[in-house]
Amino acid sequence: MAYIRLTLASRCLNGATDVSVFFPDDPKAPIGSGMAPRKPGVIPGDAVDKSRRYQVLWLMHGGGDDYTAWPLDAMVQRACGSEQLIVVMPTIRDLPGVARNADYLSYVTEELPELIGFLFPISRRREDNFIAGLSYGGYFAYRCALTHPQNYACVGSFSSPLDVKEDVRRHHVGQAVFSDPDSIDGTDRDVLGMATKRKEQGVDLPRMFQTCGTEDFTWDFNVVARDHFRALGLDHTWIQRPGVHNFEFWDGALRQYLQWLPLRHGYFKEGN
Amino acid sequence: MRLQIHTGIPDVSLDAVVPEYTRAKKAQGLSEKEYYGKKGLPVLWLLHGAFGSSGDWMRYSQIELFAEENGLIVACPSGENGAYVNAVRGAAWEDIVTIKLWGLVHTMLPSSVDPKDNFIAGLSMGGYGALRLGLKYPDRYSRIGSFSGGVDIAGRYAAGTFSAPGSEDVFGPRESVPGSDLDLFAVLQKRAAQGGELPPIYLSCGTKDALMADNLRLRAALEKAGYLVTWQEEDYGHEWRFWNRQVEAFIRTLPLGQAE
Repeated sequence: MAYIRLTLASRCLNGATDVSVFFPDDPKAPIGSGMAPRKPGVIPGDAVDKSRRYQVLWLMHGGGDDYTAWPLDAMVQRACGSEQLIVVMPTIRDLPGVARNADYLSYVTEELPELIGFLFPISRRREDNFIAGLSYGGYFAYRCALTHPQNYACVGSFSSPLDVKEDVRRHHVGQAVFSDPDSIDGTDRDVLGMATKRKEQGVDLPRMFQTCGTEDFTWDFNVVARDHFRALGLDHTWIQRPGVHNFEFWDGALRQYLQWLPLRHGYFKEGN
Repeated sequence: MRLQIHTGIPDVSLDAVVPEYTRAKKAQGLSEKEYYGKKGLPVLWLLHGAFGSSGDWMRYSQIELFAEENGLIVACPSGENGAYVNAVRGAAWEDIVTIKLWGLVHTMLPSSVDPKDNFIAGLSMGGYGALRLGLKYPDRYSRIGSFSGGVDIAGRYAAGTFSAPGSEDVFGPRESVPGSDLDLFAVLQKRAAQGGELPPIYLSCGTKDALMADNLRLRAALEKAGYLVTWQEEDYGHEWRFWNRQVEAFIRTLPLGQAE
């Protein structure tokens, strides 16, 4: 598997930013397996196939972190390296989504798909695009999925404050990077409200995955969100197990999410 | 935009630039969808010199600007001090660049795989590498550039007038070098003797550079063998200010804007 640090100038963010990308090895001719045969001057028949397409996971870090958070975790590299999947891990500096000079929602749901779709051979079809995140990144992933349901087949949250109003009320009142919890009501930052609205509109929503550790401090918001999605009758998978708010839990959460996703376990040709 | 790639190939890194949809492109009236819909961009393979790494061109030159302005992908492989040959003892840099990184770049990025859209250039040791690989692999590269190239490092090593730490591991026994495919003067003769189209060659050197005499000798040998050589010399030594100017001048000579 290749690891790429991508540095770009984003229009939505009004600034330069970084993205981590995992790019899978070719299962037929693993790039990482030893040195090339020594046949001076002879190039083996290595037809480059430009019609190859990969499924893609848009993977969000937690609050205050950046594009290095997921890939610095060796377990994540192993979990993703065994799948024929491109994993895109951007930096999100404004997970609460209150800044006026940097539109991270448009960045992840509109600008980045165009840019990554140009740069790498990802499938642009909904059925091949998945989004997930840990903690605030999982909240952000749900916000992306509910505002742009046509983009993603599945969405996942690992230990995330999906009941964001309650989270802000309890943990973030008075902090400059969060807005007043009441001002979230009725906006696209209120994921529970958005789920209700989308359900009423009859929109085909991404399949939902939600997991939380039973000792996590976000446990009770997760239960509230779970019960809300269940009451709406959405396609929703809930997994609970012992654990707290740390990477030990998220390693397992990501593995479970990857197992749950409809992965093709291989690249495919465009048009198939 | 810049890509720093840990390739997954043992010991090999790659730095690359892919032109981005910038504010300048937007100002030209191109839409984002239109711009990113156009794939099959030309690729400049750009080799670093001795004592360097894949990041050198990003660190010391304006290559990202030149790539953005010209709609060009630039791919900078790592090559350590291996002269981009398959070492007698050590890494097979020639195979890494021409097979493995060729496959990786063209599988991963929105490039054109057509040799007409693939160009190779380098500075110092990378100039030797670019000339040698460009001449040896006509099914890969169609244009060659060398800036302050160590164009006769193999010949000088064989003659005992040049040696760097590790040269024995890279080139092997001195007596086996002259006339072999490590000897650039032999390689250019062999390519010319094969017939077929010869690649245009851009050759430059600073007038204060100790490598000037070898570059003049190579220029004469290339022209005698029938190559079209663009020669540039400027009042510089063996230094990045010269290479930054030269890579831009070389890019201006490339047949760009033909990729679909």
